Amino acid sequence: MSEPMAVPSELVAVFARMNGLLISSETVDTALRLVTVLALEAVPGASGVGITLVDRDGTRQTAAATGPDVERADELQYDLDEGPCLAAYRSRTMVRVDDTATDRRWPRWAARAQDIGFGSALSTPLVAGDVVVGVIKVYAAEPGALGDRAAYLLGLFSVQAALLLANVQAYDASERLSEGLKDALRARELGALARGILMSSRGLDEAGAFAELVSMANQEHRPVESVARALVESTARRER
Amino acid sequence: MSEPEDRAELQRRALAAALARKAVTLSSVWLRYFSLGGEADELEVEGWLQGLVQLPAMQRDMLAQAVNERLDELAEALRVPSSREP
Repeated sequence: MSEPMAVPSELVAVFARMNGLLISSETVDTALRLVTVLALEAVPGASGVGITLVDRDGTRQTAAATGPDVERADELQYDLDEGPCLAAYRSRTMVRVDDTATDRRWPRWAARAQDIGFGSALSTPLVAGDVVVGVIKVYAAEPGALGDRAAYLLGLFSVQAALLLANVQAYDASERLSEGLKDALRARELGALARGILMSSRGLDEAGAFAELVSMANQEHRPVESVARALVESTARRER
Repeated sequence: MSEPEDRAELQRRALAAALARKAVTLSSVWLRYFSLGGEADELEVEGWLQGLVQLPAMQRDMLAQAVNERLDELAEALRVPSSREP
């Protein structure tokens, strides 16, 4: 898709749609991918975005990434047990690496990240309630590319990702829902995300976004749910 | 009656007619409406059908889409295949 680049003020529309969704674990992967893709578009200088989740027993894994280079840079942190994401997770604060060529805090990781093609990095914790559930991070090809603006935006995205993850727990707690209602909830989540995407990419209000989905559905003789799923999945797959 | 209210009344009557003909059930329409993002509960939708409460335009459009999708599904299920269809 060649939609105009989402500008931060319009991302609010997507965020508003994500808020308060009772989201299923099936949909959360898609939603987290969506967060990484939107962050990649919104953060100036970003070359890659990823989300690391840490579960109760301390296992770290990259839950969403905009490319294999992000996955490799993350894997190295887990393997070496050092790097900005782990530091952000442990210190509960945003951590910045201005230049992987000169950083002395995590020399082994920094050297390898430089080999992958990343000159700078910015990581911030995902806090759901009072628990840190993971980290969202941005990598940039150029050293010094991630300044205050990037930090501000990444902060916004971290709130959204944490909210999504908090809602997964709410959903898992209501496991006794019938299959029909679960399907309906999944469709509802996809519809809400799709409306958010249309609102931000085409400057529509919510009713206009729904009307657009109906019009696409009518043209293709498909239900709205199927059109919404295609739109969300193609947006989540979008890469530079 | 203003034009938008006119449209609302048309929507209300069309849904009432589909229900009266037993083409669709309210609960199946409501579930589809909910999955499309509808925010009114089933009781509110019933109240709207009886003219007791009003629904915003987007909610009515979601209801309309829900009914239309259910009708399409029914029509699809009832179609008689031609001898040339696979």
